[in-house]
Amino acid sequence: MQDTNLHKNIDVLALSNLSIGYNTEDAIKIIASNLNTVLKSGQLVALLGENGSGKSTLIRTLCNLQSPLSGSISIMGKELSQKSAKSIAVVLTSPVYAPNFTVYDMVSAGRYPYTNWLGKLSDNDHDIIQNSIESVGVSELSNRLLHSLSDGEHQRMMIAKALAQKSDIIILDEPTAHLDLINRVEITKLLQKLAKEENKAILMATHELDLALQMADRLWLMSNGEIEEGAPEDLVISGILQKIFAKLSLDFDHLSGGFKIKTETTKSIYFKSTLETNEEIWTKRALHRVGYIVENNPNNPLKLKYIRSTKKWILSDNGVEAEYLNLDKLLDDI
Amino acid sequence: MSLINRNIVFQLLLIIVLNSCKENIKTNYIKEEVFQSNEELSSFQTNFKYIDNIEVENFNDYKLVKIKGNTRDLIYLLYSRKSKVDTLWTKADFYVAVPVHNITTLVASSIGYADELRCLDRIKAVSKKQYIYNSVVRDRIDSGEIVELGEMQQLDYEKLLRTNPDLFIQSDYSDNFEIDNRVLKAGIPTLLFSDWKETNPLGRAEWIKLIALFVQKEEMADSIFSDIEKRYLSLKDTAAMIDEQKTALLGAPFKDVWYMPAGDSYKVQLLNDAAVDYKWRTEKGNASLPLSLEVVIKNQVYADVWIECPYRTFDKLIAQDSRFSIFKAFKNKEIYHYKKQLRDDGANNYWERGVGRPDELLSDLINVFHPNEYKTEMFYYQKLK
Amino acid sequence: MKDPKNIYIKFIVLFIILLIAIVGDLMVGSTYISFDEIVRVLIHGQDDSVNSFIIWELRLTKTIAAILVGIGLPVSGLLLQSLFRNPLAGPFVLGISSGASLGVAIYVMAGGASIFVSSWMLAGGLSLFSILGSLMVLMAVLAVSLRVNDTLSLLVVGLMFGSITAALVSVMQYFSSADLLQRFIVWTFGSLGGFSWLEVTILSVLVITSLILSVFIVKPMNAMLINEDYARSLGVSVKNIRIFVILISSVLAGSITAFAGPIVFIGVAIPHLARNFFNTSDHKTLLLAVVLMGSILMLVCDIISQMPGYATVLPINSVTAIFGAPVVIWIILQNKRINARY
Repeated sequence: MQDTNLHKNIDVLALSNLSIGYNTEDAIKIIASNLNTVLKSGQLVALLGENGSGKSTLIRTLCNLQSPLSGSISIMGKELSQKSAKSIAVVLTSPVYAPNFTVYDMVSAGRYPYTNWLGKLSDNDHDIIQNSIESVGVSELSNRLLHSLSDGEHQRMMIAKALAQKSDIIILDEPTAHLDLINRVEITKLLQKLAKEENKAILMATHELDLALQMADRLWLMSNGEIEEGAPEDLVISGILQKIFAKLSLDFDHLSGGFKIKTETTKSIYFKSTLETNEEIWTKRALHRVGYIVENNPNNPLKLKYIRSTKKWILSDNGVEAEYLNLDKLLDDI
Repeated sequence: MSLINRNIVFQLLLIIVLNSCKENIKTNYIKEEVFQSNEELSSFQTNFKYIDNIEVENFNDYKLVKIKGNTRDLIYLLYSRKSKVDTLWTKADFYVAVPVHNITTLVASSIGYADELRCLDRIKAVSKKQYIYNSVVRDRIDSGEIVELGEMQQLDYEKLLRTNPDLFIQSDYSDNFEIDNRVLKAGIPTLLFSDWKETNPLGRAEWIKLIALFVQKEEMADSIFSDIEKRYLSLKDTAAMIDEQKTALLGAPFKDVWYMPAGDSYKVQLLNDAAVDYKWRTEKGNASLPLSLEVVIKNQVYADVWIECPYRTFDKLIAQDSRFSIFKAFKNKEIYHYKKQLRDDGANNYWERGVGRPDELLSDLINVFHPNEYKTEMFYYQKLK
Repeated sequence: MKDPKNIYIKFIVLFIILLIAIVGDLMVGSTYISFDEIVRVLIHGQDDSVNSFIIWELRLTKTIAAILVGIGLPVSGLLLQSLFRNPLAGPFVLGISSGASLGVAIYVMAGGASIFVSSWMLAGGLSLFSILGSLMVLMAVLAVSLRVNDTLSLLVVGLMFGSITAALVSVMQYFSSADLLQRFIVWTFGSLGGFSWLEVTILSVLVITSLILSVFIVKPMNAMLINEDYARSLGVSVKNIRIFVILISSVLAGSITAFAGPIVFIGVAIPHLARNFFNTSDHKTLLLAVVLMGSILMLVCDIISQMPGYATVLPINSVTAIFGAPVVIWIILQNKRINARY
């Protein structure tokens, strides 16, 4: 929609020897140090990390909401400062007040760095605001008051505001938290579109590993005070992702791109499954969930069979047979 | 921005200039109705025997009355109504044409003095009827001849200005008292009447001479005061000859604190002159001592007579605090109040006439404390019922 | 998009009501002066007549004082409500009025006035002490605000300072004699009546300057309304704005309290009425709105307090409280529907 004079793949935001943390009276707490990385235009980057790894601190530092301990952050060569409002737009999780603001009013706030001392909006400003509202899909909500919006609508509005700021960089902190699945996907798709079509450099801190793996151009993985970065698939192949998220109770499933919970499997059961139908896959999952490992040994005293024609399960325990119409009852009896 | 600034400064200057243009010698800013008088300025030299902070100097065309205060002095220049204010006269705070004929007063004792001087008719405005005992004044308030201006703190200034007094008598009840700027602006001569500060009973009564100066009745005041002085001193001698000295307890607690007059105060001087003993008479100063009930009981439970009790019946007194029964004075029913001359709405002549008649006060005290040696009708004190 | 024509019409209506209120206030007084007489006196300037003196020295000063209070306190309240993002904030939330009453208490009850040596210094002594008192609290609050990063803590600190000074005043009241106590209490009732032209001038300068300065922060205040993080991201220097707002609102509240006594409620209530009437949070509109609505309300309260037809005069504080308290209650009820949102 809007012309951009930004080309793809340009270093837009550069972290140089950055050290972030908190400076209190008694001590300096370093969350992460020696961070050297670059955010490029035309890319959606997901910032991932366990709770406490410093994601929020990094985000806040990059948004100029707190000062770095040392090192520098630069935007196209210029030091990050109060004047960077035209270059970085943010979408945060902090609660918003603004009584009597309509959606339009809130998005208009994005034009703040461009308006005169009294805040007067020009026709050009109004166009930009209108376009921003349309591109996130909240046009019908333009005149609604803030408090009447759903979580998803609220997020879109805040993204529209960030768009109205016409910045090269957009930084978002947990933009999909509190949203249902559909909204999570839609919003992430929206961000992807903005990166691709307008060549914006978008950094989002998130917990949604699966979405990030599917939609981000790059990942920044934060752990132990350092950042590992790369294409998502590279990080999986090289095993770095697993290493960072490895926990005793989690297994990374290469196929699904998600984490599976390790369960103690102490018992075994014989279940013949050759077709890998939906029912067979999900029966195996259920057995696994309650602690059974499925083996191919027909001599196992515990046997399970699924009859497709009758949609029933037949459990045979040392010769004694029982029929079940659903897995729930079956699992109770095992 | 600078344009707006300049505008503001200009307005400011304009206002200041306009206001200062009026700063010449003011008599009455508001044109008064013409009151003719052919009275010459009296040549009587007023002297104060017991008051140290008032001085009167007589000159050819005017008198200077200087009242010295703790924080400031006030100088009143009195001139005859016949003449005009001469710019060559010395600088004074207030210029007053005498005799004054239109007095506004908020001070109770001034009414007592005006009554003695037979010039009540010159009083045209007061605070409120309920603070006035004098029946003539009360009647005149009822008939509308005298205007009510309301409480001191809530004075109706518009009415005051319309009354346009040529003397406004107020009490400066604290050291930082400020005369209202509207009164000053209108040029109304304000007399700050600090008789309440006098610790000497005769000194207090001598303030009648100050009123007299403004109504040109100085000789009369002088003579009245001399009589009072004579009677007072004679009573004092009578009391001095009595052997027995009873002890006194005064007042009552106000919110957990019992304020007792200290040794140099007005009340204690009266007690001394009445040959009455008082526990705190050796305490220096004239500010009240804030004592707790406990201290008073401990020290004065055996006091013979309790005077200036704010209640008029024993029932009301004991209802206020049952612990009062411990006092010897209570057990002997020797408790007196000073509201014998009281109007229904609360006006007490003690404050209007009493403080100007220390001879009557002394007489009452001697009556109360030495009933065997001296018995007359009491003026203000009365036993509780 | 708000309808601009609608807004203009509303402002014109308010302006007309203001003019009517000014005339009404000039006509009300404990003595009667006809409308023609008032017009004549205002046009011809001051002369020797009683009416002229009353109108110029008593009524006009009171009317202007009412307008200054009606401008200053609501503007102060508006700025503080936006800074703290709290609908119950007001000009006295930083302990300003408690500081002022501490100053006055010292002056009246604890012998503060005795340091004045000559009578010309006494005039305005009470106001001086009042301003010093609020300045003292202001300094303390500012010092804390520079060290504290979070605005909510500032609010709490302000309230605490208020409590301390109020306690000190209480102690002084307890030990004071009856007439000094009464003098102090009368000050707490608030009064528009005792203004001299000098005081009117001083207060005008302070109020108008503060008002003009407030115009310059209209834009950042709009951003601050969202929250401080977003304001910063839009380029607002939050620390500077905080100091600016505290200073302006304290000067307004402190100087008005010094001259007119502590006048309650209108600082909190008027911004809400303005927000509701104009249906906006935009400071560009609200600033002018509170100026007009505040003046109108103070004039109306002043008219009512003079009880036209009766001899008594109600203390101005009672009247503003009767108006303001229901508004505050209404705010709380309204807020149950509008929550501060994630």
